[in-house]
Amino acid sequence: MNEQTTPNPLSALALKLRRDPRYMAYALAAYQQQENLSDKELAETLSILPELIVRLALCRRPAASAPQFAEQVRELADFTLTDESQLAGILRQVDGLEKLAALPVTAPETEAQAETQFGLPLAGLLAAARDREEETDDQAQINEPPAAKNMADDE
Amino acid sequence: MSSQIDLRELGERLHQLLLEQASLTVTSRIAEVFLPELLKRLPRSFPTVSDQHLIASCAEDALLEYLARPEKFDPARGTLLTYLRLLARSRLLNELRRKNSTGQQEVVAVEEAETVYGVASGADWDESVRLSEHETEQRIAAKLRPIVTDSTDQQVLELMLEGVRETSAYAVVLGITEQPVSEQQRIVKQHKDRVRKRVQRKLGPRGWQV
Repeated sequence: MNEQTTPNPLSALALKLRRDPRYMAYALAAYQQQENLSDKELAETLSILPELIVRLALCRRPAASAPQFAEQVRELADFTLTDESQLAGILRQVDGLEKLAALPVTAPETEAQAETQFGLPLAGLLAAARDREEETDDQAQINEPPAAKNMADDE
Repeated sequence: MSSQIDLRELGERLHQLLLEQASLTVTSRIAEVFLPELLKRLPRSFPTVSDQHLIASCAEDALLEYLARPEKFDPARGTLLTYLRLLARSRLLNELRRKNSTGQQEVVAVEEAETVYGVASGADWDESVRLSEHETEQRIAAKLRPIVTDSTDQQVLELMLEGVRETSAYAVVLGITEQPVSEQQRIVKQHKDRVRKRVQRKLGPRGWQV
């Protein structure tokens, strides 16, 4: 939901919920940002109607580590006609990104807490994740033997 | 899909589900039913307010406030729609007063006699108000009807889109109520998966264009 399309009250609500990690809107936005997907591309990826993406965004987000995760994903998949395994994959990926960024993943008690705790959630998460990836890449380059590096350059 | 839904009854049912935190889809269901209703009715209380975006934003925030703190709503004192209207009206009046203090807009709200939750409840907010059908579900179902043509599959699809979780409801549609429960569960899951896959296959990666 990176682009403003037809004004729709439910879409507007979903946009507001992108800041709240308790909702699917947050998870979808995080996934879009991570994969650099526009709204259109997200709809293509999920092969569902736009109305159903908004519907999905307005649902609560299951915790990937919860014992009832599979059942909860099935509930969302049935309600939005989304592919169950694809949805589970998106949620796990976003969850993994959060863990990587080492930010709090527990649901805040209030909206105010949610905003404070996750002030700029996606930007913060992704920036932290990218920094770590870059650090890892830099480190890998540093550790790479010169011969191997030259071979890679030749290719 | 039922042709008519009592908004009070539906509000109480969804509110209970929200309190129990038993369903992840309940927030979406509440938004789909109550936000459009709120947006239809709220402008009537503020006929002089031309800023529709402001009205919509206050309605959205009212819904978010309710979803964040559902325990504050007491169904014994009024309907969910009335409660949401209270929240939205209060937000809107605050916004208008703020704007008025900077000379941007004059605050005019329609006075109404009867009060629920300390908020006027006019004819538009009749507690027995009925909806014809959920607008969003109607729109989705209309788009999917050409794809899912089999009448049994259509009924299964409608139950899925309504957020029905009980196997027994699907078992009735599929005519398998005589089977053991575990077998019913297996068949229902199989059928739902099939319907979902059929829709996805038909829509393909361009489903968003339908």
